[in-house]
Amino acid sequence: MSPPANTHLAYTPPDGGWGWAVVFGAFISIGFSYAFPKAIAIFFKEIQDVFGTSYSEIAWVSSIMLATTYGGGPISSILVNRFGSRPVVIFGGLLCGIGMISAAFCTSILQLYICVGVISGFGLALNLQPSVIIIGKYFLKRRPIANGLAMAGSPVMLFTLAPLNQFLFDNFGWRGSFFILGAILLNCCVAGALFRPIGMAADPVRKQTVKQAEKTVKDGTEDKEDKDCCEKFNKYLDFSLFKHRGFLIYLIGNVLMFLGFFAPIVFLAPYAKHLGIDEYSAAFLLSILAIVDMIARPTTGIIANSKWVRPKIQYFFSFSIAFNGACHLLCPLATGYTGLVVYSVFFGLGFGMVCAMLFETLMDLVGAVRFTSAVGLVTIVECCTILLGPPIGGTLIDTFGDYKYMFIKCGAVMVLAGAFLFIMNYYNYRMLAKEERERIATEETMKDNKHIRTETEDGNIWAKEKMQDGPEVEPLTDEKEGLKKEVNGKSEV
Amino acid sequence: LNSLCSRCPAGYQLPAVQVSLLPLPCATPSLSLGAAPGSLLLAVQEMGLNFINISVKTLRANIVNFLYLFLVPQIEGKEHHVVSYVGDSVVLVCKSLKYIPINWIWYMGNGSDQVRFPFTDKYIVDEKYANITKLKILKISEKDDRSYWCQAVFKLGESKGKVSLKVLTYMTPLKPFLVIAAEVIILVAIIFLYEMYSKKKQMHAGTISFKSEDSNGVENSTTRHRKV
Repeated sequence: MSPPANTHLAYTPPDGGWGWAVVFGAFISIGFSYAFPKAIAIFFKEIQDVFGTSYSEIAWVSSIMLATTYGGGPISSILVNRFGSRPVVIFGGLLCGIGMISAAFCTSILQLYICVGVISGFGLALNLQPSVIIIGKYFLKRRPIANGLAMAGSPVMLFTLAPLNQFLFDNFGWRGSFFILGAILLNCCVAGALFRPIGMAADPVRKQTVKQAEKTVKDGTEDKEDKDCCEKFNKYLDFSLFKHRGFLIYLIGNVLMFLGFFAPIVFLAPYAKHLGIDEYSAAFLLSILAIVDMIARPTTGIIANSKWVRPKIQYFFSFSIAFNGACHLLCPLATGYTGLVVYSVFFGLGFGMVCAMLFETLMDLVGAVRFTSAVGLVTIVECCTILLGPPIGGTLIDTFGDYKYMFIKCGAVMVLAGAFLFIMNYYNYRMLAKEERERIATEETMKDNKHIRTETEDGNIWAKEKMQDGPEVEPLTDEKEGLKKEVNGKSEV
Repeated sequence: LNSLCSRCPAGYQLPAVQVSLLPLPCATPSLSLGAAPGSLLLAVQEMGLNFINISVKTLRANIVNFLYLFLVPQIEGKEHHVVSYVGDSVVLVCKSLKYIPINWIWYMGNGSDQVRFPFTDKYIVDEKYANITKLKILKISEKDDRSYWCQAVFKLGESKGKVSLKVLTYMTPLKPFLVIAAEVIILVAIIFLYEMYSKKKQMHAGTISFKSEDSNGVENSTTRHRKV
């Protein structure tokens, strides 16, 4: 007895209960993964003096860390496919801790690259992807809210880590701080412990029969299964996703978007100082951005979960990318401090909106089961553009001597990406609707098939839930279709 | 060449200028009437950027006095102490903000008696930029836990900045580290114990609730994934 289709979760996600503990764990994990490379910049000045390097050499530590966190995605996906989220996150937390503790004893910049950049970076990669994956396993109806809440970890952690790092530096120096940060990163293991593995178990009878069936299948056929090496590898990392229309749309759109996503944050404070604003007010702009970001992410999650937006969530995503781009295009018009504050508020809003839905939209397109491989493949491709974005912006600033070209470039790239995603997703929705109609037509001619019985069984469970939760009737209908869309998600281009 | 320009208040003219200057230790300022009527241009030669001026105007009958104060620029040390560890090396930095001193001298001092630096190979002074001086101390021991003074020599005079070094042993950060590590272990243990407890409770009760999903550990999920 196998699940009806590859992309269909063979159980009903709980959408609550222990899931909220999982969201909290993901909050911590994701927060560390995104905030840590940025927060560590506080130590750079001192380390630069001690090791006698230039600023760009020391900035490589952050870049290597970010690159490893994103580049380690596929390995993370393979490990999660094999072992599940919990062991991977616990191992990742240990790796981060070990990396930072060994960094405290480093004597050269190269050793720092390895300890902080590679080891801790890889540990964070083993934290980031599994956290996002397990949310997809615990939530379906309320998944956008769960995603929004979990992604809110990034600004909250940044807001906490920055002053904490300063405090540690003042009291323990950079070596002592790295040592203690190693212990703090071990808290990722706590987050990992919360990621209770979830399998099938809707009702006890079903669970028993399924377990028995699985055991027989496992004992009997699995060893004798004659797979060629590509198929076997696909079990660990699903390369057939590259034929998936929705996945390709998402990949191209996001790769384009990341070219202009991070550069404005990197250059916001220098731009403010360039306009003559003092250092503390410039730093305060980033704080405003972080606070608005913190509020925007869960709010976006709630909006994306509403019955009007959830079926067409891809449009909302494209809109938020274009909104972000429009903000950057308008930034050069802001000449005073008030203008920059307004820009920071809108930028924080747009940034939060995009980040909250970043993984939700991918889950929506490929389905929760294939998401494991999808997220790994997406992050390793995005890794290149993320690293290219700020240096390209920096080159523009140096060439023209003016920040506005960097903002125009970022804004244009993001508006373009938003428009691309909007148009392509319109096409994708139409194709999915067409395939859905065809599928229903073929189903009706094959009523005696066992698969249909299984599916109507699932349909009955959905109907039962539909009756239980009154006000959510309509989104359920949409999600039933959405689920079926995910079923057919492996449609060929 | 640097110049200070002062304007007469409105309504005053400068028909005759009488200049009386107190002797300055290092420069001979020269006066000239400015291009715009009613302005006095004081050109100070040979002082480079070595002054800060506060100009105070006083009016008395038909006499306008302009008062300039030349101050030796302040040196920026570090307010908070610099932390380092036994056996490590540290860099102490002193900055002169806008003005470039002729010379930097480092002192080591405990209280009022200040000893000028013995430049052994334990101490390296790095002066890549003229307005920043860096003192690198190698192989720190606990005796190095004291204040250091950087003195900048200007033509006008000298001024000092203070940087204090605090030396810690590796035991100091170890305590918070162990506290946090213990907290992590305790939390992980609590979470796992709670999970085992709730699983046992469910097995005894014989029902599996809809909300909390428990499976037999990782096995099920891997099996499911393999089937995919």
